[in-house]
Amino acid sequence: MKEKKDIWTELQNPPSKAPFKVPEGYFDSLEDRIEARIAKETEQVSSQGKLIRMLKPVLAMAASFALIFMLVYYPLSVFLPSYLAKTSQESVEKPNTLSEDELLFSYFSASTNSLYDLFGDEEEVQEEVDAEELLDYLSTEMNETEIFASLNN
Amino acid sequence: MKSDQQIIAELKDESTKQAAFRALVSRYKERLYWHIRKIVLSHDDADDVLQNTFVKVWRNIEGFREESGLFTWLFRIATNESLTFISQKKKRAFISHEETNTYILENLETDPYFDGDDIQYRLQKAIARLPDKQRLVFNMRYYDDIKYQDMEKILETSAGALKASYHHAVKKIEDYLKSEE
Repeated sequence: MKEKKDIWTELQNPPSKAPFKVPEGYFDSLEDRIEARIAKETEQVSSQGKLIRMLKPVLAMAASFALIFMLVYYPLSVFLPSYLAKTSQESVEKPNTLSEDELLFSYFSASTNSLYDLFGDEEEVQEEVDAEELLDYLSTEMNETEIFASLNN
Repeated sequence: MKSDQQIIAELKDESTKQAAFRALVSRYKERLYWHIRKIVLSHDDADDVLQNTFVKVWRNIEGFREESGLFTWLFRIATNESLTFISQKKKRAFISHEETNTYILENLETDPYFDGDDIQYRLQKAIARLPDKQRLVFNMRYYDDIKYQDMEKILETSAGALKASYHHAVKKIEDYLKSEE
């Protein structure tokens, strides 16, 4: 290792070159590599320009639709805010029909197990039945067809 | 051999631009490479920055104002490209301001193309620890022996400020080398 005074000498006498080297033949092909890079970048720029040119009509159409929408909707929202609020509220209101889940829930939570309970709120017809009539009814031996016939008569 | 003025005139003419650009690269590639290499230290980084510099020259030749001189203009672009490259690397590596030259030191330690003895390595380590601008001024004065009047034009700073930067750089290098012993 060199002594301290060698370092000061080093600093006092500027060297001819920095202590670095380059890979062999590095400078020989530099011009070609730079030209290739410029050509590649120019090509990329021109292909991007081509894509923009192709998309231009579509973009113009989309922009004009957006403009028309803004020209119609914005004045309406400014001059008729209550009307727009009402229509938008109606459109989000829940429909009157019940969903499948709601139907099942109301069926199972109902007090009776009849499917009939599911349909509407019609008042049940309550007929007063006499005790004797009930006894007669229960004591008669009729099949289902006979009962049906007697009811129709 | 063509003069710089001739090369510039041909660069501004579309029919001769390509050939003139090749002549310009041939003339200045080595000088610019060594200037850049001393800033970024690694060969791979220097190669990237040198190519960026020439691409920029190709794109901006129309805007070149001849009063500044071709050499000065090229050195200015190369210097700006080098400093921008380093700051981008630092940002990507999330290096804070306090440890700004960690990246440069790593470049020096891992460089397979370092070609100096132990004294030169220690000196390079000391230089690598300097702030970017002081390092730049030190390298231009110490290695390239560029006069302050020329540096003024390249770095767009007054000669007084450059002399002060060089003085601070030498002081810091001395202090570092003393602390290393």
